[in-house]
Amino acid sequence: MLSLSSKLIALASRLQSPSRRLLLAAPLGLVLGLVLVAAFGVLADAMDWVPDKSIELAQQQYDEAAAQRLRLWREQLQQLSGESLERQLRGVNQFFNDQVPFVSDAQHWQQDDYWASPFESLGTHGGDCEDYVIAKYYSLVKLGVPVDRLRITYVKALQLNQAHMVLTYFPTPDAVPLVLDNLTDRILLASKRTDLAPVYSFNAEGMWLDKMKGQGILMGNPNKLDRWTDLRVRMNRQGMDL
Amino acid sequence: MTLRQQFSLLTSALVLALMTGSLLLTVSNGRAFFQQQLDARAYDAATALALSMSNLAEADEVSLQRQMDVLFDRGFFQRIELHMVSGRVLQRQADAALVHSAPTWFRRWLPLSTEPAEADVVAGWSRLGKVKVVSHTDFAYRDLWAMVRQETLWFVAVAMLALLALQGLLSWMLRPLARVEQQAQALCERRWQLQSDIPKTRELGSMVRAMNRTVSTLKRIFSEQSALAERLREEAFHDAVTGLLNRRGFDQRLEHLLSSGEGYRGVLMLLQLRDFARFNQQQGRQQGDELLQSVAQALVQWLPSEALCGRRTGADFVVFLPGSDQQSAQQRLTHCFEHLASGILNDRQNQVFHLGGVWLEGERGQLSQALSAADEALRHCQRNAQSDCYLDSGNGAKAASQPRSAGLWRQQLQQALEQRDIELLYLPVFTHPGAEQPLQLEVISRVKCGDDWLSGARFWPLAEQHQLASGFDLLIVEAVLEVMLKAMQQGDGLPCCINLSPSTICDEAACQRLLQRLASVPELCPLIAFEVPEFAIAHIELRLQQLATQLAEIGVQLGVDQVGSGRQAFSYLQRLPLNYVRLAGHLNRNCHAAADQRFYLQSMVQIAHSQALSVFAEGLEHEADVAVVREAGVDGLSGYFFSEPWQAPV
Repeated sequence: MLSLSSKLIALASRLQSPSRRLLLAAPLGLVLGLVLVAAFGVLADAMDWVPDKSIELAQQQYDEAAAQRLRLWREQLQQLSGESLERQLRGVNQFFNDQVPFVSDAQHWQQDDYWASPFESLGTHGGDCEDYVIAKYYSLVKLGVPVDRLRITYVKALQLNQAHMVLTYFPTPDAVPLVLDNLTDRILLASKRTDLAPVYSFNAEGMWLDKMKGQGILMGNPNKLDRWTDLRVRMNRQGMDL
Repeated sequence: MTLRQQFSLLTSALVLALMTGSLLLTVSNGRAFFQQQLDARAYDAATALALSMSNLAEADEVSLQRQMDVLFDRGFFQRIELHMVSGRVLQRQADAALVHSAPTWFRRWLPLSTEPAEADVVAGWSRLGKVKVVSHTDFAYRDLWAMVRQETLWFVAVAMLALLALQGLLSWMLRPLARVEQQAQALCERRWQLQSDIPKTRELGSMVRAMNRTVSTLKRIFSEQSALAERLREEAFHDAVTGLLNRRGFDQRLEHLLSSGEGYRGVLMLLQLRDFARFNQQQGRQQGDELLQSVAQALVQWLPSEALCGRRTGADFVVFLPGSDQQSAQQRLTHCFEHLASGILNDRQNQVFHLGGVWLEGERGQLSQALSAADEALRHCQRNAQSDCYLDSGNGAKAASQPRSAGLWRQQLQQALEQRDIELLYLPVFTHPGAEQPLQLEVISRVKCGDDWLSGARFWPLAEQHQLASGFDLLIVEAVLEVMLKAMQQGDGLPCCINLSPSTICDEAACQRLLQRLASVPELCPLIAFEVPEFAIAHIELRLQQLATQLAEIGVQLGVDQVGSGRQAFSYLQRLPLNYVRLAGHLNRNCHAAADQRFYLQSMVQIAHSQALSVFAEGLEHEADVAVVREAGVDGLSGYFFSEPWQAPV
């Protein structure tokens, strides 16, 4: 937060270069005001990402501890906003690997395969590989990482001989991606992850045709077999827009 | 706009709105469904293609292109593109899949969007590119268009059926309404129609019942009024014991005859039973009444229908018998005497009676003179103690005219018919005293017979007797039409009324000739009225009904004259399609002096007006009578009080 403020002040002083001085000398106070508003704007964004409504809901639906974990998440996001991309990736990856213990879907949800929302994962204090991916994807998108650089990738964990899922980050379209995995806290290049065999990756945006986005959620009647849609509808109800 | 049209319009609009709404809903739902299917197919195809490309062992361009070809050649896609990460783009594209899918306006009206569905192609961890698939809309349009066409056809068929059924239902439901309308129409034409078929629909049913009640009530009112008038007539003019005319009835009729101006010829006879008071004392009143009734019956049996017959007082009877000449009058008097003497008053009865008569002939005469002359003749024969009869030749000077034989009469009448020796007089009928234009001209005819001009009263019985009446009727009609045509050319419409004799009405050929002649002058028809005497109606009613209908069709009016003179029931007024009635002249004679007569007049006018008939009064001579008649509500007046018959119509 401090670093962000100093950055903005530096920006403001740069605007006061000699060529603009005449134009901008007078409304210095106004600019300072804008800076403050911008700072609060970031704060306000984080409040939207994890809204009070969701925290209250967690308290009702689960317990105070669940609400506390959501508050913690919000604080984490607030701290990470405006940070470098590298810090954001590492911070988000670490937060969920730490806060959410791995529990299989069969154990946790009594279902074969359940895509839980971050609210549910933090609330129930447990999740499996997809749940980590979803929570990290949501957090990163909210922090401003371009959607096109993120891919959700179906993989096979070779040593465990298990279906697995990771979130990949592509700095450029043709680059080898970075892998955010709940099996390890380190973020490594995909080429270093010899323990994983990629199967297929998808762009979450493509799964959802633009004009159908609003409808499905508003109608509240998505296809239950389309997990991504199901997830989005659920998250919408929990106060978070994916 | 009729009720049926309004119903039809409303229901048609409703059906149309429902059907159109349903059609639009179907179309829009269909479009949404097809849109979803198109998107889903594109997305599935993109995912499947991308997955299969990602699993290629050697991802060179040719292999990738072939993969796209496989999918594209299935024919369901408009465009398939592969955007490689390197920036290269592989694609297949086609504009139209089908020659005729749907008209352009239809495509414009229901746009199907073609968003490309995207899916990533990967090779191991790294991305190879992005597949974009766009579905072809032609198939969706073809199916949607077919659906809309079928739906529209179905809609049109159902709408037509529904409207047809509606028309049928409406005409079935509204039939009672049409029948009530007919009923009301019939009521205006004085026909009492009852509907036996009461509709089950509650409102219509009560309407029909109410209408039936109205008709029944009106019918009852008419019958009651007729019965009342008939009873009044009976009490005012008829003798309660014998049913013959009473003194007043007889005197009025005879006076009207004598003073009508049309001339009179006939014998007035007085019959008196001797010592009837003693008969009453000895035999009792009832026996006396029975005797009187027998004598009356015998007289009525013997007398022709045009004769007047009455009982004056006690055992005094009076008879006026129209006749052609004095010689035949003598014969008839003798015949009458013998009829009585050999029948009801024969020797065994021991009842002496005397019959005295006087021959009356002239243009205008006095009642009192005629009666005293007859009285004198009676007293003359009463000098004989036995039953006797005597005819006084009246004022002898008049008796000079030679009696003519039947053959001569016939010859002279035929001559008159051939030479058209007739003369027309016009008696104007006015709506009120002082009116400038007459309402109607009643045509009075005279015929030249030999050297004499015969008045209608004299001539018509002869014409009837020799079966020449219909010939004279047609001659008169022809003559009147000529006069009317001439007046019409000068711009005057002359409303004329012509008497038709009963034998003309019974002669079908004559009626046909009459109708044909009238049809040739349609412009005059509304001005013409025919009238027949009331006493003839009983015999000719069926034929008259037929003729009346035919006359009504061409707009000629029909009336009845001498109404109220006979003992005819008034029910014919509602059976025949008449336009007016002319009350018998004697009814208004001295009516200012007699309350019961005024009352009778009043009820006659009411009955006629209740049947929407005009009422005319004729033979008015005194101002006091005119006032009474006008008060009774009569629509037209005529008589010497207003004018003598005109020689020329204008």
